Amino acid sequence: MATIGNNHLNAKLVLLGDMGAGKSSLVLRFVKGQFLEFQESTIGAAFFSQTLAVNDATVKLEIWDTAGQERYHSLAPMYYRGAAAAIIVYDITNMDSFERAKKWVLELQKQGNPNMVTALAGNKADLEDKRKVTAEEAGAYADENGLFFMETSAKTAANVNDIFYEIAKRLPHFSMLFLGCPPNTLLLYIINTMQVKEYEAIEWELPFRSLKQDKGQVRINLCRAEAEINALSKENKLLDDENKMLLRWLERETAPSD
Amino acid sequence: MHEPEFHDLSDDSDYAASQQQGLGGSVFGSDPGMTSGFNEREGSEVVYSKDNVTIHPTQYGSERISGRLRLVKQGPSLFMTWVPYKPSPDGADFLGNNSNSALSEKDRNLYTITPVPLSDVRSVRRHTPTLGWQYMIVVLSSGLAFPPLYFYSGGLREFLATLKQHVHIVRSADDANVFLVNDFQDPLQRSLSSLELPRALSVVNGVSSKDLASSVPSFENSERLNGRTYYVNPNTSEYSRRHKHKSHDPARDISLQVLEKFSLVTKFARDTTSHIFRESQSNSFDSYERKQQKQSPELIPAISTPSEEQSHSNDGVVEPDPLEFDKINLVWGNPRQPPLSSDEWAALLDSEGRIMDSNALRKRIFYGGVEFNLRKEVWKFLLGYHAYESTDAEREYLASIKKSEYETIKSQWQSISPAQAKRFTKFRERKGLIEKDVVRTDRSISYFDGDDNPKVALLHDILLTYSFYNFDLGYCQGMSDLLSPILFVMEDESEAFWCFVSLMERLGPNFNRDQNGMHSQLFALSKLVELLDAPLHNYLRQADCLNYFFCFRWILIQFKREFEYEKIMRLWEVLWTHYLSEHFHLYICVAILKKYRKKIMGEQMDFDTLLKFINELSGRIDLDGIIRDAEALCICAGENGAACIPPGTPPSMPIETDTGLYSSQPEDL
Repeated sequence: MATIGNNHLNAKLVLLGDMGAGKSSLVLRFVKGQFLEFQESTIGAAFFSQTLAVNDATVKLEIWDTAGQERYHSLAPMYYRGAAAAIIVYDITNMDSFERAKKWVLELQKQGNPNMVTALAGNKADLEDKRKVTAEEAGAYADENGLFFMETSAKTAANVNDIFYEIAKRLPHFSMLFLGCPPNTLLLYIINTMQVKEYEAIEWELPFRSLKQDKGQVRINLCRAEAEINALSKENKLLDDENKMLLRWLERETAPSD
Repeated sequence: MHEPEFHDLSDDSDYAASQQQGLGGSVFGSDPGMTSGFNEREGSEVVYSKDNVTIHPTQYGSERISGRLRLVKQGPSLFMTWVPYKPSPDGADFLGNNSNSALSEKDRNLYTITPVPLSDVRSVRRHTPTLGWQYMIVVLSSGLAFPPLYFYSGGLREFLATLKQHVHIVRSADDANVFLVNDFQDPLQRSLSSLELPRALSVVNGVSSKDLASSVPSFENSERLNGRTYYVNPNTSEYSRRHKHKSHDPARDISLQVLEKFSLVTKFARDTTSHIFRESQSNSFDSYERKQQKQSPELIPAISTPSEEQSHSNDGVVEPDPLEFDKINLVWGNPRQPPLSSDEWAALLDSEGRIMDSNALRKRIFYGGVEFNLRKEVWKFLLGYHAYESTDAEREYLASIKKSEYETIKSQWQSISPAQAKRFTKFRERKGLIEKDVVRTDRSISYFDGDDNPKVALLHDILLTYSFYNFDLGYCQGMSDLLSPILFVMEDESEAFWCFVSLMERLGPNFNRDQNGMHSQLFALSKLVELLDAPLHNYLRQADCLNYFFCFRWILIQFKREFEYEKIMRLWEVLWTHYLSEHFHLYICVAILKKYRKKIMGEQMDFDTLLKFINELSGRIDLDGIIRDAEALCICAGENGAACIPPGTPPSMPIETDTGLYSSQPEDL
C-alpha cells in the first residue's frame, strides 16, 4: 500500500527469489550497509524501510524480505499483495535459482499488480569464476518480460543502491499512491486527505488530470487537488460501480509511459 | 466493574451448604429410570446417533471426553443421552486423541448424560463458529445446562433436524441460534436470563441474586478466593495483597478479572464431590464459563466482559485506559529457581537409573531448567527419546541399537554415487537446500564457527539423514535452527539425530506445506489473546493483524531466533516439560505481546510496523520474566485457555492417518 505526504511517497517493495540467492543480504547492504558472509536464513518474513531522495521528493521504500524455500511459497502472496515494486533475486552461480526467478516473474504477472515495477537482480556478481548464468541470457529474458535487470553483489555493494534507486525512479509517481488499494480505500483516502464529504463521480477526472500534468516531476501538488475537489464537491455519493469506474480510469491514466 | 458479584462466588461455605440442602433441580438421578421415566428394556428406537461428540472438562487440552450422543424414541417420548467412551487399551480414541485415558471411571460417570426426556429440555443453543467445532448447549427447564457438547465429526444440524421431527421446536425470534423446546408461554427472556451466571447461581443457592449482590464479601474473602483459584506462593499473594486496591493492579485487567472468576467456578465445580455434582449439576457452571469464553459479546450482561468494556469506551463512557494496565509488569508467576543440579538429579533416580517421579522432575525443570552438564542426559527424557521408567542398562542398550539404526539410514544417502545423484534430482535439490542452510546456522557460536568446521558437516549429515528418515517431510528452513542446540548439547551424531527425531514428532507439522500446523497455532494464539487481553485483541482486529503472522518466526522455531543461545536452551527445556500446558509456548507469545501491548497500541502499529517491531525484539526479551508472566497467564486462563487450542495443535502429537503424517507433493523437496 502506498501513501503520500506533500513531497513524500511511501512504496511497498517485496524481495522474492530462491533460498540462498541473497535477498536478505541485498536488503541489509542497502538499508544498513552491512554484509555477513553467513547471513542466517529468513524465517517467515522481515521488514525494513529506507528513504531515498529522488529529484526533489523523498520516497520511503517499505521493504519486505521473504523466506526463499518453496515450502513457504504459500505465504508469499501475503507479502507481494499491494506491492508497488518487486526485486526478483537469483544467484548467478546457480542456474536453478534463475529458473526459480522466472517462476516468480510468471506468478507476479498473473497475480501481482499490473503496474508493479519489477527488477531482476543477478546477485553474487563478485563470484565471476563460478558464474552459471550469463548476463546476456538474463538481460534478454528481462527485456522480453518488461523487467529491468542488473547484476549486483551484496558482498562488494556493486549495484545494490543503484537497483533500489532505479526502482524509486521508475515508480509511476501518481498511481503508486494507490497501488493495491481497493477502491473504497482510495475513496476513503481522498475523503480523509481532501476533507471532501460528498462529490460527484463524473467530475472526478478533473482534479486528477491536473495532477497528471505534473507528471514530469514526482512532486504532487495536493493542495491544488484539494482545492479543485472542494470546488467540485456535490451532494451525490459515489456508488460502487462508479467507484470501480474511477479506479479503472486511474489505472489507465497513470500507467507508466515510456 | 462488578466486583461484588465476583466475590459472591467466592463464598464457598454458603455454596456448599446450599448443595447439601439439596436446592436446585436435578436430572442426574442415581436411578435414571426413576428420574426420567426411561426404561431401557421397553421397546425403544434410536432415531439419532452421533459419535465423537465431546465435552472439554478440564483445563488441559488433552483431557477431553468423547462419547456418543443419541436421541432415543420410546413410546411417545424422546430422550437424549450422551455416554462417554471407555478408554481403549492404548489410551487413544479412534481420533488418535489421548482423550479419555486420563479420566477416571468416576469422571466418566459424572459427565454421562443419562437419558433425559426432551420434555425436561427448555432450549438448545447452537454455536457454529467459523473456525473450530460446532457445539450446542442444552438448557433444562430448571434453568441449568449441560456442558457444551462439541460435535467433532459434525452432525449438529442433523441433531436439530431430528429433534424437529419428534418434538415441537420453535426458533427464538430474538436469536436464530436458540431453539426453544416445550416453552411456549415463557418467552426467550427467561431462557436467556437463566443462562446468566448470577441468576443461575441463585437457582442453585436458592437465594435471589439481589441477596447475593448485597452480601459483599470482606477483603479477606477475596484473598481466600485467590488462594483457592491459583497456584499462589507467598510472594505472589503478598504482591496481590499490596496491590489489591491500587488502580494499576494487574488483577484489574478486565480480561483477567473475568477469567479469575471463571476459573474459580470451574475449579470449585471440579473440587466438589461427585455426589454434589449429581445432586445439583454443578457442571452447568462449566457451560456458563465456556459460553462466556466462546461468545462473550452477546451474553452475560451481568458480568463486564471485555467486549462490553470495549463498547462502553466506544460509547464515550469513561473507562480506565486499557493501556494503564501495563504500568505494572505482569511478573507474578513463581520466582525462577536455580537450574536442576547433579545432586538433585541423582536423588531423583532409583538404584537402576529409573526416574521415580517424572512429574516432580518436570515440575522442577519447569521452574528452574537444568544445569548445562546435565542437559545431555535430561533432554533425552524431556524429548521423549528415553522413557522415564527406563533403566540405565536399557538406555545404554537403546543407544547402541539406535546408533546402528542411524548408521543404516545415513548409509542410504551416503551410498548414492555421483552418477546416481545425476539422475536423482530430488536428492540433489534436497542436499542443496541443506548445504545452503547449515553454513549459515549459528556460525557466530564458537561451536560452529571457523572455516570447514566439522560440526557444520555434522549438522548437514544429520539433517540429510533425517530427510531420508522422514522423506515425506524432507528438509525445511528452520530445521537447522532446531537441530543446532540439540547437537551442541548432545555432542554425538546419533544421539542428536534421535533427539531431533523426537522433537520433530511434535514440531513436524510446523513445516507442512499447507501450513496447517502453523495456522492452528496462530489461530489458538489469537484466541488466547482474545481471552487474556481483550483490548489488545480488539486493537489487532481493527489493525487487521489477527492472522498473527508477526509471530510466525516465534512459533515455527520455538523462539530460537529471539533469545541468545544459552537462553534458548533454557526456554526449550521449560517448554518440553509440558508441565502446565503442552502449549506453553503460546502463553509465552501472549506474555511477550502483553509486555509490549502499550507500545503496540500506543504507537498504532500496523502489520508492517508490528512485524518489524517483533523481529527486532530479538535478543531483548527478559526470559525469566516472560516465563513467569506466561506461567501466570496459563494458570489464569485455566481450561478456558486450553479450550482455545484445538486438539492436535502442535506440539501435541499429530493425529495419525493412513496416508501418512506429511502430505508429500510433487514440488516438495
